[in-house]
Formats: sequence, C-alpha cells, structure tokens
Amino acid sequence: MRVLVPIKLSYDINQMKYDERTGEPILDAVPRVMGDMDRCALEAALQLKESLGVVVEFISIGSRRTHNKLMMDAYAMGCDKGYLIEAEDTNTLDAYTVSSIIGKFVEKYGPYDIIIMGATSQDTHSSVVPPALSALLGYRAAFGVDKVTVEGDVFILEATYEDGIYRYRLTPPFIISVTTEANTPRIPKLKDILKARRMKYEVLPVNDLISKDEVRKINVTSIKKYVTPRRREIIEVDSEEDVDKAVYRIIELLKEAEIL
Amino acid sequence: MYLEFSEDEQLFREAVIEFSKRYIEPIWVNVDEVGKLPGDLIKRMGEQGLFAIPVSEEFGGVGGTLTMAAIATEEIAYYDPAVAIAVYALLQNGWPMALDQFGSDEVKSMILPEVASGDAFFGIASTEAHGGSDVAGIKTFAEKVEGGWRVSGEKVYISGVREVLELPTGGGWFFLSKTGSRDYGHRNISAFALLPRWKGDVKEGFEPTIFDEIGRGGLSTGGFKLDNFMIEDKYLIGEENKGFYYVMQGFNIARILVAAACIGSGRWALDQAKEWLTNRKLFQGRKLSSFQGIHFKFAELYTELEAARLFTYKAARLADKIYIEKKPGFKPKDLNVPVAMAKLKAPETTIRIYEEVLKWYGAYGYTKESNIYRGWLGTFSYVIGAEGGQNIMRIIIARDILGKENIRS
Ligand SMILES: Cc1cc2nc3c(=O)[nH]c(=O)nc-3n(C[C@H](O)[C@H](O)[C@H](O)COP(=O)(O)OP(=O)(O)OC[C@H]3O[C@@H](n4cnc5c(N)ncnc54)[C@H](O)[C@@H]3O)c2cc1C
Repeated sequence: MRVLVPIKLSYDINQMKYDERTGEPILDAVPRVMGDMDRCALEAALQLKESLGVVVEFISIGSRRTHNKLMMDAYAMGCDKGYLIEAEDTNTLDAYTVSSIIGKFVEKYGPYDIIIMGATSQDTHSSVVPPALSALLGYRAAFGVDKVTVEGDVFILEATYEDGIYRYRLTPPFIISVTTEANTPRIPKLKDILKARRMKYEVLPVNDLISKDEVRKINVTSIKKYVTPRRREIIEVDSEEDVDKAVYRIIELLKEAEIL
Repeated sequence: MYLEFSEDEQLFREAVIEFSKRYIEPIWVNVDEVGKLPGDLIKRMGEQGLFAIPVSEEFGGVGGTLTMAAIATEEIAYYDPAVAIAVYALLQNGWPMALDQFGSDEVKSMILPEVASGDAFFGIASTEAHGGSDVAGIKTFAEKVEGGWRVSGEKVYISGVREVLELPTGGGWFFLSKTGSRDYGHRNISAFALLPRWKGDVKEGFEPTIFDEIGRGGLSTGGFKLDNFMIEDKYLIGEENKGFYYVMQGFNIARILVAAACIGSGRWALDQAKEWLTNRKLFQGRKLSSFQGIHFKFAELYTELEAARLFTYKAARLADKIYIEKKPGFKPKDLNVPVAMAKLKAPETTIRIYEEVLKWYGAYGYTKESNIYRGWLGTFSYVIGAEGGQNIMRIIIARDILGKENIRS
C-alpha cells in the first residue's frame, strides 16, 4: 500500500513580524516551518507504516532553496520517498491550483491508496485543499479526523464536528485530513537527521504537471495585524456577600462578550 | 566568525527543543528538589540520540559532531536551568568522545553503545583531596601486575557515583592514576576506563560515598576509595604514562559543553527577567525596564552572554575540525585558548546574570517559589571548578599567549 502526505512550508505564526507603523506583516523576515497538522499527518502515515507496512511518500511544492530543510525533516521522521514540485512564490498559489498540482501528481506518479493531509495549513487556514483534491481525484474522504483505527481492510476514522462525533468506515482509496488531536508526532532522532542529510528527493518542474495558464495566483490585497481589543474590569471582593455579586457580574460580562 | 547553524543543525536544535519542552520542562524543578534523575528520562534521552553524539557510529555512537552536542547541552539547560540534566548529557557526550578518540577498539565497542542507549554512565574521575587543579599531584597509584593493574587511592567530587551504582548496566569513568612512579609530575600518569560496576554487582575494592550538595540536585556527586582494585590490561586508555595528555584533551572537549550548559541556563534567566521587567510596574505605573539603571545592565548582560555563546561555538567548530573531520593542519593544542576563553566567559557571565536577575525579582527572587536560585546554584558549580577552576582557565590563556617561561613566578 502506498500512502502520500502532502506537506506545506508555512509561516510560523508564532514568530510573525509586523511593521510597527503600518501593521503589515514583514513576511520575508518570518521563519517558515512544517505546520503542526502536517506533522500530525506524517505521524498518522508513519503509524500505518509501522502497523501495516505501508510505504510513506511525501510531496511539497516549492524551491530547493527554501524547502530543503522541510524535505529533510520529513525524511528524518521516517518517510520513504520525497518529491518536490519545483515552483517559485508558492505562497501566492491559490488552493485550487495546489489541489490540481497534487491531483496531477497522483495521476502521474500514483496510484496512492491513501492520502493524508493536515486539516488546515498553519498560515492561511483555508482547509480547501483536502476536499478539492478528493473531488478532483474522486476519492472517498473524511476531514478533520482526530482518530484513526484499522479493522481488517476497513479504516475507521473519527471526526468531531459541531453536532457530534462522526465515524467513517472507509476502504482505500481515500483521502483524509487530520487535526492535532490525532496523535503526538514523533521527534526526529539525531541519527535520522544525519541520515536524512544524505537522502535525495525527486525534483519535478511544476510545468510537467500543469501548464502555465492553469496556474492561478491569489492576489493578496492586504494582510494586517488584528489585535482583539481588550476590556478590563476590576471586580473588588471585600466581603463574603461580594462574592455572589462578583460571580453574577462575571457571568453578565461573559454574556455581553457572547462567550456564554 | 559568523555563527550560523547548518540545516541539519537547525533541525536537530528544533528536535531537542521539542524534546525538552515535552519531557524536561515539566519536571526540572522536581528533579532538582528530589535530587534524582528519573530512569525513564535517561532512557528516553538515549533513545532520542542525546548521548554519545560526537562518538563514531562504528562504536555505537550517533556519529554527529561536538557542535551538535553543544546545541543539545545548551537547549537542555534552557529547559533545565538547574542544569543537572544538562550536565548529565554533557558528561555523556564529552567523556565518551574522549574515550572514542583514545581508547582501544575492544573497550570502545563494549562501553560506548551502552552509554549511547542510556544504560551506562561514563564520566571523569581525576580530582583528589589535595586539590583538583593540581592534576600532576594525584596520589592514586596503579601497580602493574600479571594481566592488569592493582589500584589503590581515593577520588573526590566525582559526578555520577550514584548513577554508576543504579543504572541498568552501571558504568564508570575516564580515570587517572599514577603509574610507574609515585613522584610529583604529569609524565607518570596513565588513563584507564574504570568500571566498578558493569552488568552485575559492584566489584571488589570499590567503596563509594555520596556528597550532599547545594545545587544541581538531580545529578549525584560523590567519591570513592579503591583498595587493591583490579583493572584488566585492556582498560588502559592509549599508551602508559600518556594519561595527562589525553585527559587535557578530554577537558578541552568537555569544557566546551560546560560553557554551552551555562549559556542555556543564563539565556533562560534573561528570558525570565525580560518577562518580569517589562510587566512589573511601580512608582505610579512605570515598568521596571524603563529605569536606565536596569535596562543598561540588562543590555550589558545580554551582550556578554551572546559573546560567551560565540566563544563556545567557535571552540566547538574548531574541535570538530580537529577530532571529527580530522583536517590536516589543526592540532589539539589549538583548542587550548579558545576553550579556556569559553569556559572562563560562560560560567562567569551566567553567574553575573543570576545575581542581577535575583535582585531584579526583589524579595520574590529570594523565595524558593521563584525557582531562579536553582539556576544560580546549579551553574555555580562551574565557577567553583567542575571541569576545571576559573583561574586554571586564566593560566592556560596566559601560558599559551605570553609563553610558559614568562608566567612562572
Ligand atoms: C559539582 C561538582 C562536580 C564535579 N565533578 C567532578 C568529576 O566528575 N570528576 C572530577 O574529576 N572532578 C569533579 N569535580 C571536581 C573539580 O574538577 C574540582 O573542583 C576542580 O578541579 C578544582 O579543584 P578543587 O575543588 O580541589 O579546588 P582547588 O584545586 O583546591 O582550587 C581552589 C581554588 O584555587 C584556585 N586555584 C588553584 N590553583 C591555582 C593557581 N595555580 N593559581 C590561582 N588560583 C588557583 C582555583 O581556581 C579554585 O578557585 C567536581 C566539582 C564540583 C563542584
């Protein structure tokens, strides 16, 4: 069985930098990393490698210059084979283009039995690529999965939505996206990092998969730092009677803020 | 030198940080308080590849570099500023690397894989009661007998005594003893791999004690008496009577990691201070950081720490050229000054940082709850003299720069 994990080099939102005056992010100065959910997707695939002996392959879209560390990281975690679809300015590719590129890749280099992705990317949070890819490929799908179990040929995938827990029973081929609840990703060991240094990944030009005019780019009109305005109220409690009053006031405030 | 980590070093650093956040940060205070390293943590560190990093793969090591060992030590110390866990890692990298450089293949393949996995400890046993700085003055004596050496003497302030007694396999030390003659001097010192406990009971003639210390509670320091203790021939490290030269190189290796541990702990203290100084307000709402008397000092210490960091990684890179890459033209003695500078600068800077941070915290700093004092006491072991006293670093720098003949009184 072959499993494919598409991974993205995302901006590390914990290390965002902004222009103090305009509030615009200075993206060139923000480090890029593998997103947490992508790491969970790799972990889910590697757990299948351990339990079922599947082959785990991964793919990313970007340039050797920016993506080498990401590719090494995935190898160090234990993946078997990596592909880099060479393209510049991958941050401005729209979600449909990304899905098309991966879709074409699967048609050309597949078949893959299972595709596992992170439920959403760490920076843009659109969650569009997994469903779009499943539509393009005609794969069965389950999104936002936080538990994967296997019973014979059937994969049982659990996802928690607003109206309850959904349990999908799927047989390959299928595509799933996982949340950070799905597992705790392994930490690459130094020996594996050193080995990963020597592992080669295949580099394929993006135009081998889709033509230039199929590439759609998003036009970012503005990104601004948004700071949720803070409201502070000090509720003083001097005596026991004040406690009840304070509790009611807190409930009132939480209702006003639409938290309750 | 411009300090930049390569991509694999960055990945490794991120991995150590993640490991430390998961498994070290939640327990460091408890480790310091209880005074014992948890066995499962040691095992996990072994599995993660945090021991025997600069030891060749051929002998069971990770096959990395001393720079990587320094990265690991620095980051572990950031998440365990009391430094017991960091020092444990430091010893488990520095002295196995020294054994890898000078030991026989047979002994290396026996000891090093067990150290790498976390099942055994391998540290350094040089200090004796007359004064650790004076290595040439050691009194422990190994008498040559049929098939080995009969050793008697006493070592004090030795890290890892309890760990040798308790770890699954046991372990021991890169151990120094007089051989041939008991005269004062360094030409009659030999190095041995001393293993008082290895896969079984404590061997005859080994009598350990444990000391009660003021800091870095998780790692034991003790002493031991040897009474006609037998060491087999194969455990002699390198050539007879060359032990002093090997151990000085071992100290150079280990001191780089000592500096890295201090830097990690000092960085933690400054990060705590940053949080404190920018949040605590007094005199009608002024932040503590707004007072020039405070932010000048902060800036100064921050700069000093970065300088210490540059010294440390410069020395680590040089050590890699000498011992790992074995580049022609780089000699072990080239390390003396860069290492002594790093070992001089890092612990002293870190202690100055702690003394300021404790004051900035006011009375809260004096409470146990603030935990700042744990880092202070832990790193103080390195200005006191663990892995070499500070004045010894000054002597090394002065000797190599001014010339031996010009510094004699
Ligand atoms: C926590 C801890 C762990 C340790 N672990 C180990 C271990 O695992 N293995 C091991 O072998 N040892 C270990 N040591 C011992 C350490 O190596 C010694 O403390 C060190 O070598 C100094 O020796 P000393 O303490 O006997 O002090 P001394 O040598 O007596 O020195 C006392 C003071 O005098 C200064 N001094 C000495 N000579 C001179 C000189 N010529 N000129 C000017 N000043 C001088 C020193 O800098 C020091 O400040 C450890 C020490 C500590 C505190």
